[in-house]
Amino acid sequence: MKYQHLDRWVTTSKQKDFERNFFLNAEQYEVWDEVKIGEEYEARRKFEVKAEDIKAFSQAVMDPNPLFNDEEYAKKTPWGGLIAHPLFFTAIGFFCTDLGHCNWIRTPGAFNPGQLNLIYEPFRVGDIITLKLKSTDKWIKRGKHYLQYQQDFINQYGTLKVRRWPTLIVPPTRAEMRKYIAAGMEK
Amino acid sequence: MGLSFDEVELGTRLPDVVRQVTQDVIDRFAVGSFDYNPIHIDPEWKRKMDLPGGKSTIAHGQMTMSFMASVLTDWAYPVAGKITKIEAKYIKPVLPGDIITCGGTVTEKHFHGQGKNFVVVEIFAQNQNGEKVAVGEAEVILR
Repeated sequence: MKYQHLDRWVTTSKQKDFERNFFLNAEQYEVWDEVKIGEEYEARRKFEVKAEDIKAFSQAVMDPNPLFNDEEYAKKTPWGGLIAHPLFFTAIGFFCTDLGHCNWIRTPGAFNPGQLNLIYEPFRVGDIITLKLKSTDKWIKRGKHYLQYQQDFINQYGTLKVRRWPTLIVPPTRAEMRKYIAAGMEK
Repeated sequence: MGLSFDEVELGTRLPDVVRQVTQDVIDRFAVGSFDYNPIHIDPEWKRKMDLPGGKSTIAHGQMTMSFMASVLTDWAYPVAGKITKIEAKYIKPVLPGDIITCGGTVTEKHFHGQGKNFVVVEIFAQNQNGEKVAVGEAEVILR
């Protein structure tokens, strides 16, 4: 397992089994010049929300709010039970995004200049989330290659919980991406 | 400071959230978010790359935005206020060693009827030098 020094932060079964090496199978990443606008993909991996996932994300963002951490407290509030921190979709998005189409978010060399998120319902224990992705725009500005896409987070009852439009700056070509990958594989 | 829609006034300043960022904090967020992009967690790789942050790793933008969102949840969630929209633009990388202060100000009130009335909150994150690292906006439904 790459980055074994991170083991000490692992608290959930999903975290324990997740592959941390984003350099693996790098040729399956899509780079900017290969993206076709309107391309859609449904992630194969689903995210079943457990209390431990909600609590782990809350700890990762150092937010001790009892609504995210204390089931008994949360039951007595208008929320009626544990809810996830509003940025919890981040964990779902990365967990569900595997190799293949629309996996730009994992690409070594990619980084995040901003985003818009619409939150319809908070994630709760028992939600089984399917992630759908669609490329919506790509452009060049000041020499950087931007990609915008849509992510939909839908539970097992068909309820759209979150729709968001992340923007990424990504490697423009496969040759450029290989530079980032090669440096990671040297060790 | 009132927390019903009727009581909240334009210009209301939400209480700040302050977070000390270290490489440990970034590493823990990587595990919590499943975002193991080496730009955040691999100092040796990052030193070789021409990417934001110079030779240093940088914190996840999602972590900074999470801190900004906590300003809203600390304020609105205890009274069942609902965050329906949150957007952010990252201006400057957050590095290990930074102390990030996040805050927000109510700038708009929208009158859509009971249960739909919402306020717009301008949110920000700044480092220990007073430099903005992220700015954004959120919509929060208040009863």
